[in-house]
Order: sequence, then C-alpha cells, then structure tokens
Amino acid sequence: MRRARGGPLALVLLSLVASVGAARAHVVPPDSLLDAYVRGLSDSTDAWFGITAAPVDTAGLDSALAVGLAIPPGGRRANGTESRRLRFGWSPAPGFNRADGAQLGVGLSLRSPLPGRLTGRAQYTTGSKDVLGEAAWSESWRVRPLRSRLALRMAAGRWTETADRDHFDPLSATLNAVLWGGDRHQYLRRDGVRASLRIGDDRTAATIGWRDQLESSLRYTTRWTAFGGPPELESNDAVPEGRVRELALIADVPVPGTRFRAQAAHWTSDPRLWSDRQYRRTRFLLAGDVSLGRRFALVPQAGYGRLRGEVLPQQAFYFGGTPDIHTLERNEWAGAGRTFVRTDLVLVDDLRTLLHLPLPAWLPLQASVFAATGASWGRDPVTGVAQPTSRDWPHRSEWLSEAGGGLSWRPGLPDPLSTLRFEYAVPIGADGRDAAFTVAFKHPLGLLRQR
Amino acid sequence: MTAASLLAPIAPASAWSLLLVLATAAPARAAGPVVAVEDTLRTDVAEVLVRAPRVTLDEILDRVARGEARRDSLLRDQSFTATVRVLRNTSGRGTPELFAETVSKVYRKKPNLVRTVRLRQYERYPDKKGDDATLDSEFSPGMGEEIVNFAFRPANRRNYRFSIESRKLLGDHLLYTLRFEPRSALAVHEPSGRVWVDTKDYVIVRQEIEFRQSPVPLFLKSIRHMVVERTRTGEFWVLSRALVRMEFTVPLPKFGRSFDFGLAFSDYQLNAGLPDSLFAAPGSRAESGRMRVRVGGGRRRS
Repeated sequence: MRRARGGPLALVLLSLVASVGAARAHVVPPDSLLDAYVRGLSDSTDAWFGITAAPVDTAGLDSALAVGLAIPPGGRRANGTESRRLRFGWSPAPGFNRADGAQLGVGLSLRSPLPGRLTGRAQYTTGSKDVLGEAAWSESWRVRPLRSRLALRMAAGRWTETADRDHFDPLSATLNAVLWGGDRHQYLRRDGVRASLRIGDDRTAATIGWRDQLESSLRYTTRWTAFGGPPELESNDAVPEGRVRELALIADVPVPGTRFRAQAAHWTSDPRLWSDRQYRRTRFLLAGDVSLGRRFALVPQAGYGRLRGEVLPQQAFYFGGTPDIHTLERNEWAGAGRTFVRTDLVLVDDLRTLLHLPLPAWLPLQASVFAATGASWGRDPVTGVAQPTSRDWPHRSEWLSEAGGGLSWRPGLPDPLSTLRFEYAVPIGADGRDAAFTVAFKHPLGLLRQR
Repeated sequence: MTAASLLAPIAPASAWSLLLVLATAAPARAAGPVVAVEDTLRTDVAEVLVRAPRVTLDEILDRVARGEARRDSLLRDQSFTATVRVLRNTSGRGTPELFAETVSKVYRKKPNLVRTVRLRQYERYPDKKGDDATLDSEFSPGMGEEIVNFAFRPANRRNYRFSIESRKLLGDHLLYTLRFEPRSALAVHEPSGRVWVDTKDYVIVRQEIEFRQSPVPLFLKSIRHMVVERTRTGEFWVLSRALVRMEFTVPLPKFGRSFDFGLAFSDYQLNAGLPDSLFAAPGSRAESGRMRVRVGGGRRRS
C-alpha cells in the first residue's frame, strides 16, 4: 500500500534525475572525456620536461606583433625569409692523386634571382701544373601528378677522374694517396660537357644522361707521400685518346613487398652518336636487408656488369679490394664482365651495451660476419687487363670466394647507416690469395651506389 | 540527520526509491553502510551476439592516412604563435637554464603563402656583432604536420611495423594506441614509438617517440624522450607541442651536455580567411614543405 502510494512520486523523481542527467549531457560536450584524457597525458609531459614545457610569457607580444605587421611583407625582418637576392658561398676544394699531385682550389656557389643554382670549382694542380674545374647549373621542379621532382644538371669543365666508374670514394682515396701512397686507382682527364635529367622521389628514380668529353691520359707526376715510401702503383695507365659521346640510362626501383632495391644502368657510345668509341656498358645491382628478429639483419647484395664492343680501361669493370673481394688488391683485375654476391649478417645491437664494454658513447660498435663470391672475366690472365670476350658469364674456375668478420663503428655521419668497418677476410679455395685485413668506410648497402 | 529523515516529509517509499536510484547511479562513490537492499525490481536483458568484424590494423592505418589527408585538405589558412626554446643542463648536475628562445607569429595560407613575424628573441650568449642568431626558425606554408604523421604517410608506411597496443572508450570516442617501429633491423637510428589515434576522425592526437640508438653517435649520445602533442582547436587537431630531451657525447662550451628542445604552438586561428595582402610573394627559402629550425647560428652570407 505504501509502496503503491510512493510509486508515482518515485517515477517523477526518477524522471527528474534523468532529465537533470540529460541536461548535463547537453551542456558538457561529448568530447570532454577525450579532451580530459589527452590533457592528462599532456600534464605528464609537463611534469617530465619541467620548464621546457612551460607556457610562453605573452607579455609584450601583442605590441611586438603590431610593430611587426606594420612592416610591409617581403622584408627580411618582417617575414623571416629572405628575398631572392644574390647569395654567394664558397668552400675549400682540396684533393690529391699521383697524376695531378696536390689539387688546391675552391668550390663556389651562387644563388641569384634567376632560376636554378650556379656552382663551380677551380683547382690548381701542383704536379701536372694544370687548372681543373667545372661550372654547373642545376634546377629542380616538382611534378605533382607523379609526386616526384624533376632535376636537371648541366656542367662544363675539365675533370680528373678514375678509370673505375663504379666505385670511388674521394675521401679515402685521397687520404690513402697522401698518407702512404695506397691509392690504387687509375686516373684520366676528361674535358667537355655533361648533363643529366632525373625524375623520381626518394625511392624510385629514372635518369637520362649525356656527355660529350675528350678523354686523354694523365702522366704520373707525384711520388711523395706524407709518411715517406713510394706509392703502391709506380705508374698511371694510359687510356686511348678520343672524343666520347655517351648516352646513359639509369633506373632505380624498389622491389615490391621487400626492402630490396634494384638498379639497372646502361651506357652506350656509338659512332652514330658522333662518338669516336663504340661500346655498350650494362650493369645490374640488387641489394636489401632482411630482419632476423630485432637483433640481426641479413644484408644480401648482388651485382652483374658486362661491357661489349670496345673494351677500354675507362669503361672496364674493376675487381678486387673493399668494394668486392677483399683478398684481392684494390682494382687488381679489370675485365669485360664482373659478377659479385655478398651477404652480411649484422648484429645491430651496440656491443658496448650488450657486453658492458667500457667504451665512450661516441663509439658504438656492431659485429658482423660475411661471405662473398665473385668473378671477373674478359681479361688477360697474365696482365689482368680487360679484353673483349663473347662470354656473358664466367667460367666456374674464375669464381673467387671468401668469408670473414669484423667490427663496425657507426659515427652517424655523413649518413646514419655508414660505418667504418674493420674486417678480416679469409680466402676460400686454393688459389694463392692471402687473408686480408681491411679498413673501409662503407654503407651497409654499399653495392648500390648512393644517389 | 540521515538522508532518509531529510526525505521523510515527501514520502518514505519514494525516498527509498530515490536513494536506490542515486546509489545505482554512482556506485563507486557510495561509501558507508548499506541502508537497504531493494530486491523486488527485476529486469532481463536479452543477450546480443555482436558479429560485426573488428576494424583491422590495416584498415586503421588506411583510415589514419585518409583522416590526416582530409584534415590537411580542410585547412585553408592558419595563424599561430610559435615558440622555439632550447634549455641546457636539463639532466644531471646543474639546474635547467633557458639558453635561447624565439617567439614568432606565423601566418600560413594555401597553396604556398607564409609570413613569420618575429615577436621576441632571447639568447643566453648573444653574438656581439648581432648578426649570428643562435636559434633561427623558418616556417613553411605546409600544414600537413609531418612531424606528427610521418610513419603513417603512404610513402613511409611500408617502412614501419605497426601493432595495436590498447583501446580506450572515452565518451563517444574510441582511442587507439598504436605502436610503430622500423621494419628494418638495420634502422636502429630511426624513430619508433606510440601514437594515440582518435577513431572518430582518425587523426593522431599524441605521439611519443624513442630512438633505439642515436642517429649521430659521434655527437649525440642519446635522445632520451620525445613527445609530440596535438590540441583541439574547433574541429581540428593541430600541433601544439614537440619536446625532446637530448644528450651530447661530450660537453659543449657554454652549452653543457644535456639539453631540451621545445616547439610550442598556441593561439591558433584556423580558416579565418587571411587576406593575400598579408603575405609577400612566395619566398624561395620557405618552400621546402616543412619547418626548418637552425640551432647554433652560423653567419648568414648574402
């Protein structure tokens, strides 16, 4: 009975409570819970970072803004950006090799209201007493439909370049040459023009290039080294002189579904292109990495190169040394064909922390082991000089293999992955090679030329 | 005086009902003795078997990419106050000290207009000649906030491995916490971390970043903590802070070893219809698509 009398009032109260709740739901935005949660996370950030996270002191900002806005836009102080006036920059451009001697010069850059960027370099060579240099113009444009950039570069000048077109590290070559004469490259002179047009993004790219250059030999002029002793090579090989007009086509693509990249390149020179030379130079490269858990990375790399037509030293495929087979001397062989496969197994963890080594923080070390095999064919077996061949693949007896291991120091410069590698390689097979200890600065995917 | 006696003038039975309602409405807060247990009201709710498939991780990632792109496409112009701040001595001995701070007002308008008005600049050790700024900031016209969504961009997504860490229901928002890390074991220098994604709009609201190893071990010992936060302004989530604590391998003169770097963005005005007259012609240096901050000076040559 009492329950029956109180029932309607309870219902009224219930509806009252419900309506109050509804009114509150209407007043409080439905996002408030999310905002409160995010604010809570933000408060923890405040606590962690302390005064770095403190709000900015706004005193005087309004008047500063009024003053700033009163200055017309476009001035440097008003918008923080500079108008496109002339900007000039320079940097030293030193170098050294046994053909030129010391190269003393400067690199220049100029930005102007005109489109593009002008750069230049001028060097005086103490050995050959010559002037080297180039003047270059480059510009790039965004290609929105392809989400790419189109880059054009044109240069004219006189260059000293290595006969090995595939691998050249100017820093290590120069240091080796200056300090103890350990530079094993052959050098030649190239005079003329070259241009390249590249379209792509940071993963996929296609490049077309053209060069029109007179190629000529350089004499061996400079014997001195900083620590005394003669250079390893007592000569600089001659190259046939002639005007070379060459078309280059290069494609660089990722392999879908993997972290591998493939690169195909083809260089062609032909009298029909008004060139003195006739050759076809083709190169394929494939490299990538496979993660084995979080601690190990497997890094396979493979390359194949073939030169048809005239086999000139400056177009040959060089073989031996840190780019491929360590148990051969650098550039010991040159051939009309080259194939190479290498696989590294890298322990990516820092050995300092893994083994509690008392080493400074700037010296993170990684350990790795590797196995490599490769072959060079189309060469004179006695002199090691490249010569024409009709074979597209090496004989079984021409393969050389090795295995080894080493430590790597990753300084993070000039790119985060490149390491200074201390490696010990042991030859596999009875062919007279000796074990070799090498020191080289390399990218883990070094076979793929860095773009 | 009890709650029952307070309600007695109304009706005893109604009072008990009200107490019951209040008790069931806030069970967590109802502390103290149980006055009565109502066991006469019963209700049955039929079981409902939900067969709707749960949103997959790939679908979430697709939607985040679309949500971020949509957010970017809806922004036509924006203005905000940007504070760039460097503090030294932020860990270990010594007390944190402001080393440099720059406050700017930034106006952006699509497609490529930007104007930065420098409001205040502080330097602990100013250059005597006055032309060598310790902290120099430049802003691009882009509003895509790549620092927030770099791992989710279609071009980068294949480089990261994602996993769902947690889900949280907040009102009518379902907040996912996703973990990401580089797919390549070689990429020990690349960022990994967690992002909080509001699945109502599929936008990222917060990000915590860590680095397994320093990107530049020669100079930088570690990046200890990095947080990127967004805040809601109207309908949009916009970048509000990016804070990072780092440590050098060797102490630098006048600077020390550890330091914090902070970016803070406040006073947002979005789609306010900024006039073109506010901007100069598109400048050459500000068209790279992202914000650039130069710390440590270096004389500008012109």
